[in-house]
Amino acid sequence: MRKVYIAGGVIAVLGWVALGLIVARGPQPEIIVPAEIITKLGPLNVSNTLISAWAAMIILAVVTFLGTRAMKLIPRGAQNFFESAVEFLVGQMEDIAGQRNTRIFFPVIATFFLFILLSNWMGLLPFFNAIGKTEDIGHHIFHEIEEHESDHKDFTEEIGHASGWLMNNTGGIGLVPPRGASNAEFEMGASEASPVSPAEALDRYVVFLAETFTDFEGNGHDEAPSAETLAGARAALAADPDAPRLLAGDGGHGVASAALGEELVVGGVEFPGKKLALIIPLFRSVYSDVNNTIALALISFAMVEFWGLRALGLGYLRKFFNFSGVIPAFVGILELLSEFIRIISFAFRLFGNIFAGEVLILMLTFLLPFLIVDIIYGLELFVGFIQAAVFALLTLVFAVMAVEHHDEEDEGHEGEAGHETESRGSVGP
Amino acid sequence: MGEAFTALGINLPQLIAQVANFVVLLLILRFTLYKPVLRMLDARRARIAEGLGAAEEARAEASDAQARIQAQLDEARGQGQEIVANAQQVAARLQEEARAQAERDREAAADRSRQEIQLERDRAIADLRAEFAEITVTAAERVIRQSLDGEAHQRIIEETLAESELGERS
Repeated sequence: MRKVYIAGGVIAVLGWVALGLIVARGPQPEIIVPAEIITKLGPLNVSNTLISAWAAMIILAVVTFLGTRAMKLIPRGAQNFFESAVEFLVGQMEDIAGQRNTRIFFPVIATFFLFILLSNWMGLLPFFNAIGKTEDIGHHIFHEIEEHESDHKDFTEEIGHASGWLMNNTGGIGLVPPRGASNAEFEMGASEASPVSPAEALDRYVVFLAETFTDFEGNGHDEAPSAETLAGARAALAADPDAPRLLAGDGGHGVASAALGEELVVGGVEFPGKKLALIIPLFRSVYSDVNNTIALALISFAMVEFWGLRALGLGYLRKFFNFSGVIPAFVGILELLSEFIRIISFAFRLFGNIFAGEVLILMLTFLLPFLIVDIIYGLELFVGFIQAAVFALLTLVFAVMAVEHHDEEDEGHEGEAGHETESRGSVGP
Repeated sequence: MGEAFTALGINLPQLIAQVANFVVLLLILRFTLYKPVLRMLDARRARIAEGLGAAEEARAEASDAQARIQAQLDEARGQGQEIVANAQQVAARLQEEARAQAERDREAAADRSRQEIQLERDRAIADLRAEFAEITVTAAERVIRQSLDGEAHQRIIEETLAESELGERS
């Protein structure tokens, strides 16, 4: 009986995973490290991570406002939740920093924790990295070629962002295609050593389009396509009504093909059926962007130094600039360095964890959409919490270290205490 | 360095934007979360401390009152005992007095009876003597048939009597 259950369970799991592969397998994700720019607002590039950060801020602000709007001495409902959350944070901090310091540090540390935690967990929501605006890679590649042509400049490196998914036109905003979309990447083999002229790039692009969108087979990519290959590619593109069409350019505009001479001037590419595009997600986990983690790390650094200076005055700087001897001076320099290295470690610990988690989920969703990725989601919930806690607690610990009195001052206090006992002794008979 | 910055997508405006975001969020949360909640927690802590203090005070007061009542009870009991002791003393004295009175009364009554008896006896003796004297006189008259004056007679009788046992006794 038990064997039947086990076998049934295994079959159900395998069936479920297989079903996921059939219905939900998306295109291979394009992993891009910098946050994608959604729109421009003056000098500010509004990236998807920035939009997510604003969403997290709005949620925090609205929810806390509603939850603490009518505070009562006898708490009910949401007030209970917020009070226990704040009390938990205060309690944890008091264990480390003591009661007096906690009141000073609390707002900043708690904001670190809440902002990072909510951002990390929001990054696991299903519409993150899934819904976005379409970026037309097919047109993008042609524009790059056209720009190089008008600048009379050869390609010495590959075109950036030259890979995408073959997908239907979604009209600007769309979902990452759940099934059937295949990937295609345009490569020219350009490098500093072997530059590729815009004309040759166009030829290669035409062959690439024919190979990608029709049954046409080229003769390899090692050298520039021959005239026959190019003619075959053009014929294949022309034969299929859904394949991309090359638009003729006029004299002052467009790119001339090398293999076919001046005869073929291409002024644009049109995609009547499927097109080569990417979905640029509107939302992406906030701290998968280095800008945001560096910003937090800088704030953490600035606050620690500020608290240190406020607590100890200029004496705080004596920790770094101590010329009473060679070794103290050296230690001071090390302290100073470590102070700045913290910015980097803060920034890249958070970025690395969150970005890696995001990539892991994206890749696993692509490889095995169902079940296995759920485990990773659970893990990422944990990682998101841990990273928020680590960032907040490390800042707190550094802050406590900064406001503590320095060793030398402690010795001074001991000396004073000694004098006091002496004078007290002299009062006696 | 510049290439690394581009590859990671580091750009100053977004960095500044994120710093600004954090500051804004900090100010908002200070207003919507930290201040009201911490104030409420402090207020509640103060209230509870106050309540506990009041309870402590009440308990102290109660035990105080208990002690006072106990003291009053003890005092009352002492007073009661004293009263009872006094009463017993008085009762004993009264009893003593009553017994002494009774003794005295009895003594007096006995004395009186004795006196009365004495008186009665004296009277009886006197009567008896008078009668005996008369009888004797009569008897002597008869015996001697000699008239003697009364005075001589009486003297003789008296002498006789004095010599007799009756006279000695009185």
